[in-house]
Amino acid sequence: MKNKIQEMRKSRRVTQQELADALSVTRQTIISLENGKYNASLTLAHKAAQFFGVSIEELFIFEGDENIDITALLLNSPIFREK
Amino acid sequence: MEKFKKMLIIKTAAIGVLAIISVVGALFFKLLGSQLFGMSDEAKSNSALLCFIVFLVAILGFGLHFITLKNEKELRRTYIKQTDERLLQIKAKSSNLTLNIIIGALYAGIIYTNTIDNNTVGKLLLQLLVAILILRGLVSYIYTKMM
Repeated sequence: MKNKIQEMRKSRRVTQQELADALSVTRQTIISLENGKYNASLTLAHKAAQFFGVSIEELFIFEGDENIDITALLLNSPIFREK
Repeated sequence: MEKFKKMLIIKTAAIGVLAIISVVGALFFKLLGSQLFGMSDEAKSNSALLCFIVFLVAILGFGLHFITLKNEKELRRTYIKQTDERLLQIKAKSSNLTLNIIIGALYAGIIYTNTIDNNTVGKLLLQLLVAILILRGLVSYIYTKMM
C-alpha cells in the first residue's frame, strides 16, 4: 500500500519527529511508512489523515483496488453468465 | 497515557516491594538459615548473595521507573516506545518466529534421539514439545475467544 505521507508532510513543512509526536509513534515508524516498508493500522491511518486534514483514501493508495477490473468481474459473475 | 502512567506506578511499587522482600530475605537467610533450615555457612552465603543480587536489580529498576515517572518528557518517550504499533508488531512476529524455530529444533531433536541415538532425552523432548503445543493451543484459544 502506497501513501502520500512524505509528500503531505513536506508540503506542510512538518518534520518526521513532529509528525511522530503528533501521532504518538516513533520516528522510525514514520520513516518506515514513508518508505512503504510498513502498512499503518486503521487507527494510525485515521490519526494521520486527521492530522493532515484529508480523508484516508486521499492519504493512502490501496494498490489492490487499482488492479480490479470491475467489468470483467461483473461479466464473470454467476448472474451475467446465466443470461 | 494516564492508564500507562497508572500501570507504571503499580509496576514501580511492585519492584519496590520485591526490593524490600529480597533484602529481608538476605538477612533472614544470613541470620536464621542454619537455625530454621539447617543450612551450612556456604549455603547461607549463597542464598544471601542471590537475594542481594535480586535486591540490586530491583533497586536499579525502581530508580529507572521512578525517574521516568518524575520526568514528563521521559514518560511520554517510554509510552511511545511501549505502544508504538510497528514495534509491537515486530515484537509479536519475532516472538512467533522464535517459537516456531524452537518447535522445529525440538522436532529435529526428537527424530534424532528416538531413531539414531535412542535414549531417555528423546522422551523428555517429546514431553516438552507436547507441553509447548498444548500451551500454544490454549493461548490461541483464549485469544480467539477475546477477538
